[in-house]
Amino acid sequence: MSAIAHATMVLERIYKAAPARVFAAWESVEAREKWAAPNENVRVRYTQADFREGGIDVTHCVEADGKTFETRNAYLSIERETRIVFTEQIFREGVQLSAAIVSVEIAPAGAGARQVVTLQISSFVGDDMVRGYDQGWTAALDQLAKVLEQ
Amino acid sequence: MTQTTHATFVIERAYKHSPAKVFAAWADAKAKRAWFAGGDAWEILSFSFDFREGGKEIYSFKSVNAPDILGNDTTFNDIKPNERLIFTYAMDRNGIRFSVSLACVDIITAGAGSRVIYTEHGIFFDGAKAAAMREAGCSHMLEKLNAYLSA
Repeated sequence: MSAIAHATMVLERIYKAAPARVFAAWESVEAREKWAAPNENVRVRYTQADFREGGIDVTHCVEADGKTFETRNAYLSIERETRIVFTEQIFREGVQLSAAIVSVEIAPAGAGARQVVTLQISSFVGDDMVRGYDQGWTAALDQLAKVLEQ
Repeated sequence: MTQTTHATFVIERAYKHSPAKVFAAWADAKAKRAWFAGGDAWEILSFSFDFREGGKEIYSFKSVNAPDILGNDTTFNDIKPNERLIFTYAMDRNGIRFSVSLACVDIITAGAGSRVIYTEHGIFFDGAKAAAMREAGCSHMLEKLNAYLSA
């Protein structure tokens, strides 16, 4: 008997940057290594990056105590400056903890951009993972605001 | 903002067949092609199947009543034999992507048979009706699975 916890989360942000710059912050590995870490104690390192439909990114997310998560993202739809959809699998020590589908919708809003990130999550290890998504992504999108304002 | 619809739906089915038999219908190329891709008024144009974690199932098909060529590009994400199957899939119509989904098939022992819980998280790019149509399509698909197992 397996039990999968399913959840959907919508995170909306208004950024003081044009859609082109917001999109570029997702496209650039260098930018993502900066903002994807939820705080300064976590390091995100890409071991594979291929931002195009059909491409796959692999990252290692290392926490202060050395605990490492591996993520594997597969890009399934990319419309420049408008939409990015990818699936994200998270592993610890080779065991898959969750699978999620992430969509990023970007639209002009005044002089800036409105970004809606929708996470549809299936966790194989219970609700804690769902809370982890909420905390991790909320922090990352706030970091993205800082990167865009630099 | 792009016209996208996000939806999650859950379909439950009870089968008289064991989890091993239900799982095999998803895991075997010949079986999967027979009950999932084929039948009804659909013509299969191409079909490839590589059932392992990270492997792909790619097929294209068309309705005998319409010219549109449809494509399904599936990646198997997590496989626990006789228990669970997680896959993601994208669908194209004439080369244009119109949906991306994450699907979970949970197979649970129930008496001499099994209970299947199919959950799909979908993102649909071409209108709000697409989610309801997908749910109806998946419901029909799980009926086809039952017919295949019972044949």
